[in-house]
Amino acid sequence: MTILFKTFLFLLGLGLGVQMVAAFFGIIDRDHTVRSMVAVLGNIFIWGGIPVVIAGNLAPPYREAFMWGIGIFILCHIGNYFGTKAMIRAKERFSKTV
Amino acid sequence: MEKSILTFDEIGRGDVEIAGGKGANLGELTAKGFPVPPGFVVSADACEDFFNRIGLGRECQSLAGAAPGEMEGHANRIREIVEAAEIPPGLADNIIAAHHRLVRNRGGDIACAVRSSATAEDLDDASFAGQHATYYYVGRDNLLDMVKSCWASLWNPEAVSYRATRGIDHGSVFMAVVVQEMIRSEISGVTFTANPVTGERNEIVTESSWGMGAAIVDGRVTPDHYIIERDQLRLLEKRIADKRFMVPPSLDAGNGARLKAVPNDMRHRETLSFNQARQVGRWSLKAEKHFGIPQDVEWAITDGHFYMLQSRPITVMGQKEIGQGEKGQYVIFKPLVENFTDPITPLSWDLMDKVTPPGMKRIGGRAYIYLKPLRAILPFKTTEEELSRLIYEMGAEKPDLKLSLVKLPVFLFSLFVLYLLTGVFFARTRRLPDNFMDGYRALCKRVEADPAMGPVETIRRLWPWYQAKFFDPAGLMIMPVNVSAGRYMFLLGALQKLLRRWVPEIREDAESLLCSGQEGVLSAEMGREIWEMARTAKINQTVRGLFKKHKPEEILPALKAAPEAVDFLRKLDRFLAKNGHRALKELELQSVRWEENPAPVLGMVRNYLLVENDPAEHEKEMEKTRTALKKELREKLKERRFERFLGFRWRMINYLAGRTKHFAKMRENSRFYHILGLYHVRKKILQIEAGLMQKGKLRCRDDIFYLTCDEIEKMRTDQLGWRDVEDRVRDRRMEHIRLSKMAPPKTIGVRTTKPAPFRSTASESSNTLKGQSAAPGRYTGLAHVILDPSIDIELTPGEILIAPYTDPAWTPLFLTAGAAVVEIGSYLSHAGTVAREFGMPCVVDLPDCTRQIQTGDRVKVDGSQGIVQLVSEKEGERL
Repeated sequence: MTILFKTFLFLLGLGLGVQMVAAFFGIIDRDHTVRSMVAVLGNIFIWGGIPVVIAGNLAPPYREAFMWGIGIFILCHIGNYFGTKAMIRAKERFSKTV
Repeated sequence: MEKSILTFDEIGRGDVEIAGGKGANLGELTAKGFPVPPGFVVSADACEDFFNRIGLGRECQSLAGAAPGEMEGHANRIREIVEAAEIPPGLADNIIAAHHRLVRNRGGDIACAVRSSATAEDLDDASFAGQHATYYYVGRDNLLDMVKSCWASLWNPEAVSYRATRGIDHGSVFMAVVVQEMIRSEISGVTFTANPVTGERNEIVTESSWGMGAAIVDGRVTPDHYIIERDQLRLLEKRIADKRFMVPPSLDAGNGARLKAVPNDMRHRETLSFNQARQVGRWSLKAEKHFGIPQDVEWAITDGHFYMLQSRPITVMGQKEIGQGEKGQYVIFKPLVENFTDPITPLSWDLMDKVTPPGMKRIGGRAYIYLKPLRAILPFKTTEEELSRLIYEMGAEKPDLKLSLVKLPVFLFSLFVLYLLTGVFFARTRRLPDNFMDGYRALCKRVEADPAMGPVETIRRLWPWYQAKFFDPAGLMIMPVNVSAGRYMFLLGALQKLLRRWVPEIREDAESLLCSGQEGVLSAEMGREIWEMARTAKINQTVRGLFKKHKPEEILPALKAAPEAVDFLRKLDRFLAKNGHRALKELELQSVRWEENPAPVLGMVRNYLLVENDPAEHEKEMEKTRTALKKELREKLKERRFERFLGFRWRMINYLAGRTKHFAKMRENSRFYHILGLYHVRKKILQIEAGLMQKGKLRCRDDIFYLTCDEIEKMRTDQLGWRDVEDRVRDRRMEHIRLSKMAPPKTIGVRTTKPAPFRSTASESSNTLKGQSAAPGRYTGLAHVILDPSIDIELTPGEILIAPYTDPAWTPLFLTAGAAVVEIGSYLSHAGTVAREFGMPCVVDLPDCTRQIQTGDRVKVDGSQGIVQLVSEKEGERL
C-alpha cells in the first residue's frame, strides 16, 4: 500500500511539475500577448502553491516521493532540451560525414 | 572514309550505322511523305574519322577500365579533347557547303537545329532521351562548333553511365549529327500512340505547350495533356496546365536566356484545338502504322502547318508504380497530400526534412509515414491493413480494434515519455489568448533581415519542432502549436459521443454546427477581406467593368491605369501586406506567393463578383440555425434526469464545444503563420537564385527548387557550376512531371486481404463512388470539374464542385457550389471544414473522381454516407 501511495505521489509530483513549469513560462508567453501580469502571477501562485501545500502536509517519506516526482520532471525537461540539441548536432555531423 | 554528308533523301531506315538512329528515322519519314523539315546528316563515319585523328581510342579504353567513381573525370577529359580539336578542313568545307545549299533551298532566312544522332540511339530498347545534345538557332558562324559539341555529348556523364549499365561498348558508338531547318514552332509537343503510363493501347496521349519543344523535353513546363481514343479519335481527356515558361521561336538580340515567361493571356489557354489534336493523332498513328510499333512522336506547328520532328519507339510502357521495390510499410501523410496532390520538389523536401521529426520518408515525391514503429507502440491487435486504415482515415472510420495486453505497457510507457516531453507545451498553450502568435511576424522580419541566415537556418528558426530555443515564447513555436491544437479532435469526438448518447434524435451535423461560427479565424477573415474587396469592386462601375473585361492575370495593370481604382488598390495592398504570403499549393516552396503575383486573389475577387448572395447573410443564417439548435438541445436535455436542476449535461456540452472551437481556431491560425514562415524561407531561396543567375551558375528560374541544400551551397562556394547540375536538374524535372501524373498509393508494402483496400469503388451498374463523409447532407445537381482555381474559376451557382484537392484559394467556389466532391481529404481537411461552415454536403477521399465524373454529369452527393452517384436527369434538388 505504501509503495502504491508513494508511486501515486511520485506521479502526482511529475504532473504538478509540468503545470508549475508551464505556469512560470507564462512570464515569457505574456510578453507576446495582451494577457495581464495578474493572470500570469495568479497562475504561478496556484500551480506553485499547490505543490507547496501538498508537500507541507505530507509525512517525510511520502513528501520525498512527491518531491522526487517534481525534481525528476524538472531534470527531464532541461535534459530533454539539451539532449535534443546534442542529437541534432550529432545527426548533422553524421549526414556531413556520409 | 565513306560519304561524310547525306541529305535526308539519301537515307533510309536501315542506315543507323551511318546516319545514327535519329538521322535514319528522319530519312525514312521523309521518304514516306511525312512532313519532316528538310536537312542533312553529318555521318557517323565522319565522326569516327575525326575521333581516330585525335586519338580517342586510348581514352575510350581507359574509360572502359575505370572504376565507377573515376568515370566522370575520364568522360570530362574526352569531352574537352573533342571540343578543343579542329574539324579537318575537307569535312568542315563539306558541312558548310551542305548548310549553304539547305539555306538557299529554303529561301535564305532560316536558322538550323543541330541534333545528335548516335549509332546506339533510339534503339528499340534504349532511347538515350535527353542525354545527347541538341542546339537551336544555329547559323553558319557557330555550325562547326555545334557539330563538335554534339560529338562531345557522347561523353556526357549520363550518356556514359547509361551505356555502361546497358553493356554498350563506348568505343563502338559514334555520333552522326543531324542539321535540319529549325521550325520556329508556335506550338510544339510530344505524342505517344499508346499511353506510356498505363500501357493502354487504345489511347493516344499528346502533351503540348507554347514555343519550341525544348521546354517540354527539359521538363521546364507542365504541358497541356490530351488523351484521344485511337479508333474514332474522340477526346477522352483534356487537362489544361498553367504554362509559365516557353522557349520562344526566336531569340532577342543580346539576350542569352532561352526561357521566357509565357504572356499572361496565353498561360491558361489551351494550346491545341480539338481538330489540331486529332491532326497530331492522325500523323502519329500513320507513323506507328509505318514502323509497326507504338511511337513517341515529337512535332511542331507553325503558321497552321504540322511538322514531324522525330518518331521513335516508346521505350518504357506501363511505368513502375510509386513505391515499387521499397522496403518496409508506409502510409501516405495525408495532412500534406490533401493540401496539394503534386509531388514535393527536391529542395522543399530537403529543407522540410531538416526540421520534421523522424519517421517520414519521401517516396514518389510524396511524404509517407513509416508504419513499423507505430505498430510496435499502439496497443491493438491489428493487421498492417487495419493500422494503415486507422492512420490514413484519421479516426473517421474506426476499424474494430482489440486491445493487446502484451503491448499495453509499452504504449503506456510511450505515453508517459511523450507527456514528459510535451506536457509543458500542452499546458502552456491551454488558455493563451487569440493574439499569442502575433510576435511571429516580427521574428520573420528579423530573420529576413539577417544575411547570415540561409534557407536552412531560416527554416530551423521559423519552423521549429524540437529545435526551438529554451526561452522562446509559445507564439514563436508554430509547429508545436499546430500539433498541440490537434487535441480538438478528441474534444470533438467526445462532444459527438455525448450528443448521440443524450439526444440521439438531434440533427446529424449538430456538433459541426455547435463548433462553427467563431471569430478571429485568420483564414475566414481573409475570405471576408476578399469579399470586402469584391464589394468595393461591385459598387465601382469602372472597376467592375475591368474585372468583367479582363482575365485575372491581366487585371492588375488595367486597375493601376484607372484612377477610379485607387480605393480598390489600397484595399488590395492592405490585403497583400497581411496575406501576401499565401498561395495555391502553399506548402510547396516553389509556389509563387500572392505578394509576387496577386492574380489568384484577383481571380477570387472576380469569382465573388459572380455571386449574388452575400456571405454575411449566410453567416447570419447560420447563426440563427445555431441558436435554434442550442435552444432545441437545451429543451431536449431537460427531459433527462436531474438536468432541469443541475444543468450538468448542458454545461458539459457547452464546455466541450467551447474548447473544441478554441483549439480548432488555434490550429487554423497556426497554419496561417507556418505558411508565413515558409514564405520567408522562399524569399531566402529566391535571393540565392538571383545571385546564382547573375553569375551564370543557374540559367533558368525555378531550377533551384530541383537542387538540394548541399548542392546549392556547393554552387555558392564555386565547387559546382551550371554544367555539373544541368543534367541533374533536367532529370529531376522530368521525374517530377512523371510523378505528378501518377496518383500516389495510400499505402506501400502493406499486405492487404481485400483487392482494393479503402480505395473509392465504382461499380459500372450502379455508377456509385464510395468515399469518406466530410460534411453531412444530400444534394443533387450538375457536376463541374475544376482542376485549378486559377485557371477555371467560374462555377455556376448550384453546381457541384468536383476537385482534386482544396485549400484557402478555393474557398470562394464553396459559396456558389451546391456540394463538393474532392479526390483527397479527410473530415479535418480544408474542403470538409469549409463545407461544414457553409452547410453543404461534402464527400472526400475519392481518388480519380475528377476523371470518373465529367463536367455536366448529373450527380447525387450523400455527404452523410460519403457516397456519390451518377444519376439520370429526373432526380430532384436538395433532398
